[in-house]
Amino acid sequence: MPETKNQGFDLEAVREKLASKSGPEYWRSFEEIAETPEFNAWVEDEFPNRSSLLDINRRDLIKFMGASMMLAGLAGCRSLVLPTEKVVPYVTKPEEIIPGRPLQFATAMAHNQSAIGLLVTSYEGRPVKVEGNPTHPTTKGKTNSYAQAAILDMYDPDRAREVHKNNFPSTWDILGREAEAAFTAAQQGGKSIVILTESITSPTVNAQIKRFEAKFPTAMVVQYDAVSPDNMLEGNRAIFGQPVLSVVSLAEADVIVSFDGDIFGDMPDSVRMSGEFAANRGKDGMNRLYAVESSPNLTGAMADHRKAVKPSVVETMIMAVATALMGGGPVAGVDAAFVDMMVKDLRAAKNPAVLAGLSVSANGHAFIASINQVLSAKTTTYQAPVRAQETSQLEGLRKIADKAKNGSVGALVILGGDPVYNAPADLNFAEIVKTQVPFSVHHTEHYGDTSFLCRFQAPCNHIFEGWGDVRALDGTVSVQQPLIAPLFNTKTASEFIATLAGRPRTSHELVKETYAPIAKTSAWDKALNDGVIANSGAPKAMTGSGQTPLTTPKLGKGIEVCFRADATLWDGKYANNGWMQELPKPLTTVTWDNPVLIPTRMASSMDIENGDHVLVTIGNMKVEGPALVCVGHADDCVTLSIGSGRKEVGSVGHGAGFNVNPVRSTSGFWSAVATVVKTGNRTDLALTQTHHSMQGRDIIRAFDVEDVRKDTMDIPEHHFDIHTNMYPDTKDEFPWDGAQWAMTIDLNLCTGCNACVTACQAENNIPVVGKLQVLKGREMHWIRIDRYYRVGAGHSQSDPNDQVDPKNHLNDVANPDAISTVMMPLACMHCEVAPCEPVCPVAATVHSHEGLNQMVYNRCVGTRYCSNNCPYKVRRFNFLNYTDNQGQFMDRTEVPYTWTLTTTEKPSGRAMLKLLNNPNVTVRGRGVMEKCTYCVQRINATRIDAKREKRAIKDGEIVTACEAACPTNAIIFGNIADPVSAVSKSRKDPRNYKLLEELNTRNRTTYLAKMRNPNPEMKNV
Amino acid sequence: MAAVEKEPIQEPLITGEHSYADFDEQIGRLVLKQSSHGKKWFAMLGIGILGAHLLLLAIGVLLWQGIGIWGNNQPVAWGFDIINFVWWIGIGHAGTLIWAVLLLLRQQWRNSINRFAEAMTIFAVMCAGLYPLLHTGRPWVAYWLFPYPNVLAMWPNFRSPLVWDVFAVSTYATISILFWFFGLIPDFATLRDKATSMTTKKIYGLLSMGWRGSAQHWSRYEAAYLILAGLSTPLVLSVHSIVSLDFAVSIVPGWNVTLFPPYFVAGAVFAGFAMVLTFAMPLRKWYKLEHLITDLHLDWMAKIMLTTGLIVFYGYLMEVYYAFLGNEYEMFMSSNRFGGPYSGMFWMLWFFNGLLPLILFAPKNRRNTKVLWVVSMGVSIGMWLERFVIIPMSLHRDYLPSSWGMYYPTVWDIMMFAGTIFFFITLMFLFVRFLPFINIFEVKDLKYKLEQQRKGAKH
Repeated sequence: MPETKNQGFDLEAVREKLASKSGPEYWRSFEEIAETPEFNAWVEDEFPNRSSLLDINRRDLIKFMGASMMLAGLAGCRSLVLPTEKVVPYVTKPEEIIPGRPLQFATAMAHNQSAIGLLVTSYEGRPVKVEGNPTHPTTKGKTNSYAQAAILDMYDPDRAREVHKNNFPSTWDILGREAEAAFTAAQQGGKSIVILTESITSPTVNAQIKRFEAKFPTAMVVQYDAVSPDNMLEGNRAIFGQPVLSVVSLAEADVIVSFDGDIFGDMPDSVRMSGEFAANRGKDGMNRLYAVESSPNLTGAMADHRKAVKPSVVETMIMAVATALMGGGPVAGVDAAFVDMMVKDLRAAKNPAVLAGLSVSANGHAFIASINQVLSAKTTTYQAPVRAQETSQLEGLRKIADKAKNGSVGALVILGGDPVYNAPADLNFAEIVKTQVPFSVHHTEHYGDTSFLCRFQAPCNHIFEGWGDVRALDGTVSVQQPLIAPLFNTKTASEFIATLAGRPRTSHELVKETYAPIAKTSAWDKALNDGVIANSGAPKAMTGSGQTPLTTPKLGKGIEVCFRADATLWDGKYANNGWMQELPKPLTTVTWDNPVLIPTRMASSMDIENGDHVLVTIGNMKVEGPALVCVGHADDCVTLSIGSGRKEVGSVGHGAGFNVNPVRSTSGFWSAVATVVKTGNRTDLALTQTHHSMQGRDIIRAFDVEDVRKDTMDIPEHHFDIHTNMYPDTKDEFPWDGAQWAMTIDLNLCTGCNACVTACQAENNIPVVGKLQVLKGREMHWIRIDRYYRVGAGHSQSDPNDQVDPKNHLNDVANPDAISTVMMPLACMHCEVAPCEPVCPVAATVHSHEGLNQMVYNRCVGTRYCSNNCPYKVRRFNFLNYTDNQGQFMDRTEVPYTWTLTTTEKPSGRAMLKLLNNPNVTVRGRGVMEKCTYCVQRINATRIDAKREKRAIKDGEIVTACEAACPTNAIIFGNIADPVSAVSKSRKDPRNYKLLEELNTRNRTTYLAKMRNPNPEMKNV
Repeated sequence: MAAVEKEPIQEPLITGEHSYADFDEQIGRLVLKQSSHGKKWFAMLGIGILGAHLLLLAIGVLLWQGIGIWGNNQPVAWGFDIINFVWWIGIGHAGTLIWAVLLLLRQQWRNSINRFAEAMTIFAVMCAGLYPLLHTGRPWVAYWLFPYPNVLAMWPNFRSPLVWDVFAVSTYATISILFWFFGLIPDFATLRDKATSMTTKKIYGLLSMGWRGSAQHWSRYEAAYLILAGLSTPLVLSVHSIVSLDFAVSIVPGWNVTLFPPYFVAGAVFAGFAMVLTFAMPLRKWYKLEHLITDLHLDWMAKIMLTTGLIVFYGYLMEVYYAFLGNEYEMFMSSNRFGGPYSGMFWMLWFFNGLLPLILFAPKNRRNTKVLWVVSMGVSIGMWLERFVIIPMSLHRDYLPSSWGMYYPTVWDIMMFAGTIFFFITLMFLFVRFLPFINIFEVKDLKYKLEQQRKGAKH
């Protein structure tokens, strides 16, 4: 501002103007407030400080022009002034890194009391894909969708990044100082220092906690999981005198009875059990599976015999089986014939296995342990948890609550989990954290409902960012090694506890400490390479005599509620993971929601349709949410799944589903008696499959194993008559040239667990589209799991009773026991005569000489005719720009106030998600079609290797993403030009058939019919 | 005329007594004098232009966001976009039929309605053409459907019916415009001669391409006109046959129907005549041209509509018949039409296209403009429903029940459709104002020929 104008305003006028203003307003100078004409002119002038254009004389003008010309030349030197990106080769090449070639590192992740061995694929130091670790002795290279989705959590822009104090940025130092002060104060005041953690599966973390306890004698450690192993531990404690986890091996089991336990879903070590189950379910050795369940799950769908009853009846049935096996009389209130048959079959079995899910009561688990003892079943062994607890988890939580109320908790350290969100409602954990403890810190990967009530929020590493270890259910220990330096200012759980215990060490040092005996030997390198410490697992057979505490379960009256871990979000851990939110939950195919599952009979009597809200009241606790009519659900019983509806979850999970924890209490932790009322509100549910009947069509074939053995399968005939289609019924083969890729999917082994879907999503950069788009039917998954219901076991194809549509035929499906469920993974069939190809006007989808139906994204104009003409409807179209889709979640969700800090970080979030992309798969833009490629990038990578090594591609060398993930080896991919390849052999199986064969599309993906092994005496039950 | 003279066998195609100059005046006036267009014209044009902005908005948002703004999904990848495309293409067909086929068949009554029908053809093709372009996921590369020399060394896939469609529709548009302009030349010359303002004279003079009306001109003109008519006659059959192949070539139950080509052509003529009637009746009344577009014209057009309507309905019946002779998928497709979630649309279609036109069997209904207008509108709606029944209804439930879904159009779908209708109205009313919407020279020719016939009858 020119000095001459300084006094050009009237002070009085300024005072007046200021008096009339309110609220924060900023001004540059007093002139501005006074609004003097000079000031306004000065503001409006483009070049305020020059005197006048006319003042410039000719010589100056020429000078300026000359200077301008010179400076123009400098534009060529823009790199001098602007930041440039340089691409330079390594000067010193890091060992092992070859640009463009992935490296795999062995690690493991904890899941549900156990561990899954992993190999993480990393490109130039950037982890992009999770595979199973084949050297891991229990999971044997197989994974589930949680493991597949773990990588997305690492790149989640909503991750915990920095230490926050009262929701404002802080530092580890401040946290350390305040924690120490709080601990000392607590120690002096005789108050407890509570460490609340999820079940500890890491020996190193446990070691640090022990050190902490040694340093602070008033420390109190409580483990709590929303999907708690409490009942199993307590049931076993009752029998064996110590809390142990049951390790059920199905490898040899010939008769398996599961009580509300989902072998393929929410049971601990389900990945291992799925593999063992599948290995023992072929024509030559076929186990028989009985499932007694209240909420339909994958085990019920796989079962040869299924009984759907409410939770209290499940308990009674366990007792009935136990009583019968021990020679007692019949128990009232259960289907005696069903129990009889199971008991007979169990007695006759060589290797019976009886197991119960985590939701079965402690009493039930004690019965199960007794049953296994009576049967002297070798299938069940036991293993103590990493950290045994004197009391049950719920008891521990109650103790914390009581102490906090008395004011005798001096500090609360919460490791992982989200107790404010998912602890039983009667403990009122929010109040505890908010007001009843003087110091609280939540150390977690994702800040959640708990974090924002704590004084400190401490960010935790993702498992791929730090050293750690994890123990599988059977005791096998894996060392977790980092694949990437921490993206943010985070500490691992072990580092964090060690720091709090006043002994800061890196996680590397801490892990090595734990394994000091081998840390300096070659065994350590081998452990890192293999991902496991050899022979560390040894579950024990146990015998116990504690039969006394067994009590008769009470048969409940009225409607019961069962609580279940969410099939994709678990206990809420994956609630901000787009892949998991959009993964259709098995059986219901619902995405982005956790509807109340209600049986068909209740739906028709209460006139409930999908999406109608129901109010579930348990005691004085209430929760309202949308209902979903669930075929095969036990009558008088509804299912609530925990995991959705976290308040502080992030932009992806925000607003998805509703929180059921407000009706979950310590007394009704897994099930409770409730009332259910329709409220009149509605929420549209985004289902990916809305029709449940095969309409009498030959889609999924299922035969009795006896018929397969005797080759008396009732194979439906198809008439290739002229009316059916216009593709010629050519008998001549596809012009084979080189390898011919094909896939078989064994429907007999597919459990419908969804691991393949997430694996495909991770491998192929498949975008998440959001609930609105799924509602419109625009989900992008390249492989989907179709699920059909039929009435009756479906032993015969020509079953007329398969018209199951819960909306239109409620009465037909009223009896939940009569429902059988079949699953079918469906991706592009790679038809030899592909209907999609001739109709594409620009030849964007063409056939390779190796039999791949290829999609040329760059050429695609987007007419979508190919999709219309695909009888399998496996093509997916980018209706919008889904790839850059993080924006849709950010823009459309109302982000709660506490998130404002991270919203400023969000622009970098999109860049972060880009790191996740597989560099070998094109990222598709708006307006192009896409579909399964048979993982052509993997085929080509292997082909290049084989060519370089001057050899042929070996059978089984190329493993597609879905095949790699499948825990039951249901998917086989390979070359059918090679008559001895696994896939060729599989195609020769008499069960092999082509889906919609009558269309003559000659699909390369074929299916092996499902087999059932019903108890011959039980067909009529 | 003497009382002894026999009544002519048919009613006159031109009623009342007019000189040749009267026709020049009656029709030319509409172009040359704004005063001959009342408030109705302004109102209609205003509505049209306002509404056409909807189209601009819908296209703008579409290009910005992608076709995700529409209701298309999996499994219904084609919805309003292709329904409207086929509907508009069909509407154009009456024009081609009237100008070319009826010319070759020497049907004199076509003379007073052909200009008007031709214009409708062109405008309808313009509306139709928007859809195939804009319905693609990436319209900026839609030109790849044309075979043009390129460095990619890529031809379009000639096996795809969509490529045939590109050829069929672009040929159709080209020939229609050529023929239309060609037919306008003598009338441009008339307007040039009649115009009083210098600017108008110059413009029409330019457009008339030096037409002097010499006998030599006429002789060449008529020969060329016949040749063009001969060329475009196959188009009447080919365009909609090829459009129908977009569906018939597929393996979707409900699409894979060999009956489609003839049945689509009949449907197109049906829809086209309905649209011609819809516009002709109000226009002849507003501009007092009942002596040129007589009740007899309406009657005959109604008869053609009735005939083609019966063909179309026969097609519907055959579709059902063959479906139940066919396989389980075809059978299901038919029963899904009768009782599925969209069955209401199906029964409305049978009402509008099958039952409603039957009242035209009664001669008095064919001459009652109100009844006829209602039937015509009904047919237009019915033909739209037909495409709805064929396209989304076949797709929404095909082979695997797991992938079945529903299709609901969004506000953008509706806005785009409404926008094209308004765009069409705008073009029609601009046409009425700036070009002679009844062919002047052909009406004069008609009068001459009618007089000759009458003389011939006398002698």
